[in-house]
Amino acid sequence: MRVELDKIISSVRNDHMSALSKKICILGDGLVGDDSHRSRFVKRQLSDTYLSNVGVTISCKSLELFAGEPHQKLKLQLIIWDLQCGNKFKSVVRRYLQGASAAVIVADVSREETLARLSERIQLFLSVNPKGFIVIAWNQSDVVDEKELEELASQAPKLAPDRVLDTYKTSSKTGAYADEIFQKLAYRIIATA
Amino acid sequence: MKPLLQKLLAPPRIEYLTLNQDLIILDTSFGVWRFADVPSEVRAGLDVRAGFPELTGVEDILRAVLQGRRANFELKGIARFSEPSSPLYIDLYVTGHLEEETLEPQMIIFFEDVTEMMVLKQSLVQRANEASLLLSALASSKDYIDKIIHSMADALIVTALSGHIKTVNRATQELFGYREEELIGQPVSRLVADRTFLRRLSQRRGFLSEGELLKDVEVVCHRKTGEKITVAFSCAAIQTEIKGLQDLVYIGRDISARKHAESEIRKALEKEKELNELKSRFISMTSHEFRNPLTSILTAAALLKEQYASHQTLDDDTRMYFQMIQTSVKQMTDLLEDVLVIGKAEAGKLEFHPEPLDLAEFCRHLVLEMEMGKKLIPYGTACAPAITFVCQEESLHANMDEKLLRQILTNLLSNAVKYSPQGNPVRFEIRCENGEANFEIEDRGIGIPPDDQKRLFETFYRAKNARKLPGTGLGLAIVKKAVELHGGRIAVSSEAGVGTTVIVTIPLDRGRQTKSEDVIS
Repeated sequence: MRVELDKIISSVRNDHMSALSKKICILGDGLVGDDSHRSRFVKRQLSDTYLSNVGVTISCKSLELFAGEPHQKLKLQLIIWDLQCGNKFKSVVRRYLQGASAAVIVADVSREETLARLSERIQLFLSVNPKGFIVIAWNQSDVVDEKELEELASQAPKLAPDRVLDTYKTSSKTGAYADEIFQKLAYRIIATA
Repeated sequence: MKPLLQKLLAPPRIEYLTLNQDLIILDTSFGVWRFADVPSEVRAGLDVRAGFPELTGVEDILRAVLQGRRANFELKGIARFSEPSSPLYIDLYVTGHLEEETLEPQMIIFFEDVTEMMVLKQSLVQRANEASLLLSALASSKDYIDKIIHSMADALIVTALSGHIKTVNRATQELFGYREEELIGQPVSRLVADRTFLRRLSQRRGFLSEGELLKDVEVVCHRKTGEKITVAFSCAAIQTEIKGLQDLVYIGRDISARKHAESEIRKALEKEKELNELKSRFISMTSHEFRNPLTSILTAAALLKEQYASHQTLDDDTRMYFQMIQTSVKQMTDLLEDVLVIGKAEAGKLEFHPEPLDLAEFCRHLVLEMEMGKKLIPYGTACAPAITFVCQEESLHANMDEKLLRQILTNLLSNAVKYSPQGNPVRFEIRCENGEANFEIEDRGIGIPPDDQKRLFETFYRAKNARKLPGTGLGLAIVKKAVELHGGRIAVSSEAGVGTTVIVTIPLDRGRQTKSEDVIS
């Protein structure tokens, strides 16, 4: 992964100062779900191995965005913090969240307590970054009943209607929507910057 | 930097760099690059965020530290590796600092290599996760087993070696009528009062340390209400979580209903046997009692005929009347004989005494007898068919019961003659093959309809097209019993209106094979 990241960063480095860098956090249910999510987002590759991660992993992803004027491209570097809350104390997570512009909150649909934990995470993120944006990614959505998922998904945005931009049904198997999520967040961040 | 500070930072796991308020690197320790995400970007004059992307987003906090509005800022446990085999974790700590010469406020960031601690923590977390996975697997497996035990239909009782009950399932409570709390801690003898069973169990336990001790042992138990039930118990010893200590598992199935049904069947069978004996006693008694008056009738009729004839010549009518008396008495005697034989056979008292016998001679004689008798008692028609006897051998030696063989052949031959009203000759052939004698009787008579062929050998059963002709329905039943006694078999092929062929196959030497006297059971 390091090699690829170097590549990403070196592409940004040439005009480093002109590129905008923004911090984004991925919060999730730990275990396989969000780790593979990050891999998907950053590397378009699926990691099958399960490791109980300690600490925090930081990766970079640079995006090219069209900013209003035709033929004018804007470079945005996303600094992606992977926070798996499973084994961490809230106070530690709060420190990691500081300065983030947005968060992808991964909710594992196959778990019963999902909605409660989702709401908890949204509140946690907004308490640190009141002006941050949120995208909810329903992970493992290919393993549960469609109807059940719809019901969950319809309830989620109500938790913070002005901050939750969208919800996506992703899957650690297929990696659906990974790019769309980042594009969505990136444009919104640019718009307010 | 103060020499003291440099000494303090001498251990290689701590590095530092200083920044101005625009986050531009002013100075670095020698090895700080190895903690950077992009080592080449770490040198004086460059933005620190290029080498340390984790400082992106927290610029406001850093400035607060610089301006003294905030004492410090720290980030812990940042992972800096791609290969899990060579991990690197760092903590970073930011604090404010005044340049000694220029008195410019600066920021100083200390980096500490915390890989060792984080790897330890990682393995700890991994263990904890695995343990919790294992725990949940154990819990679900226990839940699974509990559900099976709870829903199983057999009673399950677990006791300590001392015999005190530790666990009972729902089926046990239902079977014995106790509540769970009434049984836990009680000796198992409260449920299984059979001393012999418990003693056997403790004897077995001495030999086997683990595994099944007893299987399906029927034990009489008492329910709470005092009601008696029969339970089939299997018992096994199982290892407990404490090494060397075992529990006993009893699995019990209520077989009271089965036992009850068995005894009912046994009673019914005994009753039937009694009735059968009564029937055969009655038949044999009445047969004897009938025979005496019949003999008297026959004798009286003969005497009467003689006396009558000495006075005057008999006219045709009178002769016919005497003839009718004789014929009827003969028929009745034959019928009685048949009933007696079938009665004996059904009571299992038909005896089998094989003796050496020349089959060819016996059959020839039998056919002759029948030809003679036929003249005496014509069957229905004026012209009775002849029996053509075929035998390639001069003599055939066999070991058979002459009396039973006579029953077989007489019945079959007289049937063939009786059911050939057109007078078509009956063919009777005897052959010997593979140690067996084949008696083949072929007629071209009325035949047997297919539906009736299946029930041919039932007592008193008569084919639909034979009911106009006299007969009792006993003949073939007797033939079958007699053939079975010889260890033989019968094959019948017949077509209504065309004729019937019966082939009886009997081992030539059945007598020697079964020395003891054979009786139909």
